[in-house]
Amino acid sequence: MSLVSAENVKAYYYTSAGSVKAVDGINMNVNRGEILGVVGESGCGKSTLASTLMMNVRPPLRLVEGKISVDKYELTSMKRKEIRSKIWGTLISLVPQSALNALIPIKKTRDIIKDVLKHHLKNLNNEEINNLAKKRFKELDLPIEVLNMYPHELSGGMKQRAVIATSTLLNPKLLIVDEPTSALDVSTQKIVLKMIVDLRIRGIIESVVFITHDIAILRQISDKITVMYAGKIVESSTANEILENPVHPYSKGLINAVITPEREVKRRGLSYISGQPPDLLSPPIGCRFYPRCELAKDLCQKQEPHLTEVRRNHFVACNFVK
Amino acid sequence: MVKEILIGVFRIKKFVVSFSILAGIILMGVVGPIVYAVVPYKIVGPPEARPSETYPLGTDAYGRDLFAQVLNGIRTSIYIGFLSAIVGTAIGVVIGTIAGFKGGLVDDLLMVVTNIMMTLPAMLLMILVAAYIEERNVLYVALIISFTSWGWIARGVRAQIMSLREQQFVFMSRMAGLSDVKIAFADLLPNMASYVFMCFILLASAAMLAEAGLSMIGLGVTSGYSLGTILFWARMKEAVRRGLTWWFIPPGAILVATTTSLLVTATALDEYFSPRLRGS
Repeated sequence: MSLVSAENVKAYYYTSAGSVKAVDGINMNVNRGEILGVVGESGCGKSTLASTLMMNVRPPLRLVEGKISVDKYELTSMKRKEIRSKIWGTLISLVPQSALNALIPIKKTRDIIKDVLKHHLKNLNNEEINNLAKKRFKELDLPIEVLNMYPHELSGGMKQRAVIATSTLLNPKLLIVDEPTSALDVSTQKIVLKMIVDLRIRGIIESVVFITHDIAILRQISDKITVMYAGKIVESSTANEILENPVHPYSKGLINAVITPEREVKRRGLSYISGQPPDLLSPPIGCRFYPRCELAKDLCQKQEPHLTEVRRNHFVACNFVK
Repeated sequence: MVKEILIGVFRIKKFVVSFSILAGIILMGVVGPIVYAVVPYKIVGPPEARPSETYPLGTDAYGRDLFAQVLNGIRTSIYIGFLSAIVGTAIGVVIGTIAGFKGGLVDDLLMVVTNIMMTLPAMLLMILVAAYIEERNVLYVALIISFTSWGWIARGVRAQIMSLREQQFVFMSRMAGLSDVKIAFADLLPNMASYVFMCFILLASAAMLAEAGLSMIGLGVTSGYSLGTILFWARMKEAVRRGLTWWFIPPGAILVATTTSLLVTATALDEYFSPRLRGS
């Protein structure tokens, strides 16, 4: 059963220099109870995809075409006001990229939580709200004292966890997390990851879209991985399949670029993908990866590859794969 | 928390000095006319008497008690100053917040109005409006001043809101379901409370000077006394040329002391709120 389905979604930023094609024809499915990892370099449209999935499209970003439906709602045909009152927070929640700035600096965590609950469950008094907040914090192994603190009193990891706890107060079915671990040290990363897994085990949330540029993290938590490059999906399959048998040269490059403290890395040396992601104002014609691709042939400059199923549930968009 | 702020603020010497001067003057204006119950516009003694025990600040050209006039003048001036500061800050903050938060066409329209208000010379506008209204009580004068002085506050608030609204926590509030109005006024505005407070104080001191300026040229309050009206009469009777120092120096000195202490208080508070400005 799929919870989220997106069909041919295109979302462009309209600037004075032209349209930036940050999300360009994306098809994806997120099943119930699944953690989907979206991976790619910076500037590949991952965060834009996150905004688009929850229909947080404000100028200059605009949805050009496509259909997004989550649960029984078709978001693309709903009004923004409706989405704000019915969808956000209750059906879809986002943990934004700079979660460290996501807590309002002048309020205590308790009051931030109060804001959320008061708005959605109108007939609660302060006591009940307090109890609810305490209960949820206990469930997620967060210290109760955090409730009485201002955001600047919390450490980065604690802030991140408080944001996640606040985002999931209303038991949303889908949680979108945008690079939740990028500013944290490794042990805090682990705690945050465990918290996200915990949320799913406890049935607080159903599915997660986990956006990151760190493919190593996805091995630990995700069921499926989608690799994005220049606004398009280049490869998508189960996490193990992608990590063990990557097919697309870009996915291979990403995996080889991971720095692990294991011995063999010293032997094989560090590898990286040369060049940078293309300027999305005028992406290359044909395959968007060809300027950086080792396998590129003349064909790649003309023919745009489409996602094809190479093995069961393993989709790749490359001209050299049949 | 209030206690901590008070302790911190009173550690700044500048603040203690300026605030005591300000408090003293305000106290004179509030309590003075009650304790020293001489009617300011009643002829009580010989004209142009020097300061003495009976007349602490002497009398004016008609034999009216100048001390009573100054006490009542302080009251009026401070009342006008703070009233127009309240109204002016409120207009500026509301317009700035809406313009900054809504953006687009609303922003453009509101900024056109604001820019017009800012480019028009405020004094000229005040003179025009004041001359048009024949009977000007304290409230009118305060409103005239506040309606011509909110432009720069609106611009400042707009700029701050525009930078604040891009913060992630605004999006989180939106996701939590808060309405735009609530986000703008309950989430963003408190983030810039210190700025608005500074605006308020600056506006109060500017308004007091503006009132004195209007009164000096005879367009101030038509009933009662303000510091400006005393100066107006002193000018009419050529007090400066004739060396009647006790007539024009006290109101002038008090006016300068009030506005200066207001500005210094604002600077001291600014230092407290932004530690970067604090001396070592």
